[in-house]
Amino acid sequence: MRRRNGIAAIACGVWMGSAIGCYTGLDGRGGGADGASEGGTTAAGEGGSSSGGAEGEVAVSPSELSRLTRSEYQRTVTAIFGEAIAADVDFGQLPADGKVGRFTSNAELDVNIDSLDAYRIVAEDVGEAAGAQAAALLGCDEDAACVEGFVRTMGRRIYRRTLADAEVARIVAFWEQYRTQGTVGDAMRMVVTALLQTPDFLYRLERGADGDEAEVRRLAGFELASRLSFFLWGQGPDDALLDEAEAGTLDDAEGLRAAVDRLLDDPRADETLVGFHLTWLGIDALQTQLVDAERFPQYELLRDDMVDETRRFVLHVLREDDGQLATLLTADYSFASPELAAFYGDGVSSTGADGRIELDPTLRRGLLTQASYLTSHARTPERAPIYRGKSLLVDVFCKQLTPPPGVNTTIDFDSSASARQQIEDATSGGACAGCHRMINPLGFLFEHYDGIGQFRTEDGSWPVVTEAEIVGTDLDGSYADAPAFIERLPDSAEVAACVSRQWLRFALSRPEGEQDEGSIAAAASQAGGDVFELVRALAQTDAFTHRRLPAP
Amino acid sequence: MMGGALAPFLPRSIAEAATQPKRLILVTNGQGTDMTRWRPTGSETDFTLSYALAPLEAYRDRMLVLDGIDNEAAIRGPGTGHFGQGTMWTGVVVPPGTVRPEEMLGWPTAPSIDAIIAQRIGEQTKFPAYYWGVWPIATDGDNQGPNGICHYRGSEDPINPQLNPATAFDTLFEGVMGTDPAVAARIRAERRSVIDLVGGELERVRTEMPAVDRDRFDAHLDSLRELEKRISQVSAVCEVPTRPDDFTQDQVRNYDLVHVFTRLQFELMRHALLCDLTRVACFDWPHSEGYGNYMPEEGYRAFGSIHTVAHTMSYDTPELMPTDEERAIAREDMANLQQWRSAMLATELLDKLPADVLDNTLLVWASEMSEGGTHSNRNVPIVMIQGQGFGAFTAGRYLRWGSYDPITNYSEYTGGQPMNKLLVSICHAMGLDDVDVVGDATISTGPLEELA
Repeated sequence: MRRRNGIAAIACGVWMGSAIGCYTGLDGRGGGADGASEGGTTAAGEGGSSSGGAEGEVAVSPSELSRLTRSEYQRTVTAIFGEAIAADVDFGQLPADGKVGRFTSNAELDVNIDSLDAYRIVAEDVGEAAGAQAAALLGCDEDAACVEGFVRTMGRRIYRRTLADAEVARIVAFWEQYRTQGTVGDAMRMVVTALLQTPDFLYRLERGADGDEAEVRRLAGFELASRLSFFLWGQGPDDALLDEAEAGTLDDAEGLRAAVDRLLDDPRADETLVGFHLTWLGIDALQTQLVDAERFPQYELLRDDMVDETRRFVLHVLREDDGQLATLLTADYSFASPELAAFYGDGVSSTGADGRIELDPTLRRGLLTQASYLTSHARTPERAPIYRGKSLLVDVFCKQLTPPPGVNTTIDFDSSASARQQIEDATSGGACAGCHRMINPLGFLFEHYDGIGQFRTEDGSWPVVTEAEIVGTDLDGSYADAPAFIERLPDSAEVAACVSRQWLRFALSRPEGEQDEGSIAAAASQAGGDVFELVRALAQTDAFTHRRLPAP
Repeated sequence: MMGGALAPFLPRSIAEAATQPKRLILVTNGQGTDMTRWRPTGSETDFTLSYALAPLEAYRDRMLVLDGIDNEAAIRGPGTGHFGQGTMWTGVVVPPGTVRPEEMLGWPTAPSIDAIIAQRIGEQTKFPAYYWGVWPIATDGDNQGPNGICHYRGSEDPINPQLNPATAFDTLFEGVMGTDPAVAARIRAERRSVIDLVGGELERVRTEMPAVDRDRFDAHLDSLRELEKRISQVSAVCEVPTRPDDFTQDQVRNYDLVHVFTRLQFELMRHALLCDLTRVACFDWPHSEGYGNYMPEEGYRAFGSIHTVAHTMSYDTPELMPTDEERAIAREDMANLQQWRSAMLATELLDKLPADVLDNTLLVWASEMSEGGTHSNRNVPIVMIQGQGFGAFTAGRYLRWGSYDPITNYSEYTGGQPMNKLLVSICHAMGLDDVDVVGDATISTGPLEELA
């Protein structure tokens, strides 16, 4: 499989960084210091120049076509056909997904015979189940008008656009072929099986509205509806959004904003809001983390509670509280099962009936001190400072680290000194120091939390030392511990831009390029730390509303 | 142990029976084993099988036990041992990329030998290669990556093994005579008409989309044509096994059914070979995850998380610091697991293959690391069993290279041979005589001469 442009560019950037130190600072990306990449960026409210401006003014990096991820496929089919039919389908058969950073994406992966075979198997499953419910799905007395109406409606949901008459006629003919030789169930089964294997369903086809010659194209209404819906709901658009697309409502900033609001307000966005945060912070992989059961016997019982905490907390901040990034990062409350609250011990100052816990903010505050996050980036308690520090730098500050150079990265910890001391000894010299001088201090701030996030004051027989001198960020300075540092995160422009960057990756299912920098910066600045405003702003950016064709 | 429900011999009534084609079976298990209970004792030609391999005694004279093969591409690459699954059959170092964001690693950029071989000899069968697996294996979402997927069709093109025996059955045996011919013909016709419709849509989309997107749809169309060919092909007469029950996703992904699914998958593999549906059969046992709760049903002691047991085997994982007793128990559990695997291979696969098929089959069974505790990619345990008529290697031998010791000397180079040479040898054994390099040529070129 060929390596596509976007990824190649990123990988190259990472590696070239090694020649000049630890990382390529994002402000230095692509020579962007001259600000050229920001020049043409438009964002919400800037006079609607994002719709139909001259090509030269639009800044957006190239994107490949996305193919539905497993989750998108499953959610879309479930939305179209209903839970009852979906329950009969083994979606686990769907081909594996690719990734862009932490985010799932198939923009880089071509299909092969076995993935097509997998699509065939799942489509036949859905077809079989739909065939058994043919009368209910059809919803009218079977005659020519009924069948045609069904094909139009169902075809529109599956293709995520209105079908041309000729397309409708082709599908109706396919229906009739199988109706003639079988039952209405056979016709339904065959039509559904076939439509789910078409490129219109499997890919997000973005042809654009600006004709065949343009390298940069504003997305056509239906294409934008799909981007929006997959972004905010993780599934294809509903009928109302398709109607808006057809009516041209999404083509201007106001209509687009109204659509974003409707989707965001809908409970179907909950999973996206939570899922983004779990994925961004690497918590979605908690299930596959290696945790030593003998050393942390509580872990197995607490693991699901840990993830539940983060889910409830994020949803509460966004739905019930102020929806601010600062609150996500620094809140002095959370939600925990009684077992998890007990595990947090002194960090919890009181527990409410609904599982809400009030935290002592000098001990624990916000997402980054939740056990789910701390465990996801611990690996082992001894190595935790490295993985946590790296996550802070890469996930929260969006620094691009180079992979460890070809050196032995094993540290043989023993009991001769604290883990902190041994990490410092092992990484302070040679090729390691460039990155570790930034990674380690961030991780050391979190030394009060053991391998699964429980508060501690001793590391074996050594007292825990959390104080550290942070370098390489816009919050450089000396901090006593993680809560003291976390308190400052809302002041960081780097963190605000990083969160915008992460949302953009998530929204576009592709790595960002240098021409997306303006969109990232504009959205961050408009959001002013409000998560919903950030999402609204991103949906209006050039990067979201346009596609630049990849280089041939 | 559970007995096979099937007749031990199924007649193969293809006219060409006299000139049996060569077949390759690749079996992979993760986390190695207890090497002290895996190593045979004795000399090269006069050796006694170990505890872990004892169930394969009947095949000792057809066996090559390889003690000293290094999974060199994993050793040279990043990830301190974790990415040996992606390197063992490909022979290339796992490159940087975004598939594993923690480690900033991507997919291997070369095909595995099963795919290399399938590409050359696969034309003759309905499936150039087929891949079976048993959960937990890295097919789903966040579990997947070059730490879990062993087989690659090409560069950055991972292959997911089929975990569901019912689906494997339907895919493999649809259109094989022996199923109701009228039903099979109807299903085939239906699938062809779906492919016609989808192909028409692809042609349309291909012309409507910008030119730079077209190679995407060209690849899709090519694969669709391959699929059509596969679906249209009616295989030779052979006996089709009983269709396995339908399983739910939860059942297929149940840690405690490894023993059940292993038997079902081996049964399907046997029949796929017997019916000549494929000549390259790959099977992956669970890699680093799962539990040993099913072991008592197989006559062994139960154990907990395989991952933890593997790490507890040695003192090398400082954070675990097992006691001597814990370590001894973990080593026994890993040896038991390997002995059980040997027994499965013997009783559920090899014993039940008819002689003419078995005689022309080469089985290669390997792990990506020697012992899970050390995560050492040196001296990975490899057993080859070569059919009587296969004639590629001199069998009935226990071959050693280097001075690897699982307890005291497991990470340094001690004179082992790179896996890449073995991969070349396997290609030669399968008739790809012109292959001189598999994977990274800077690791090695040419075959493992001592096998001849």
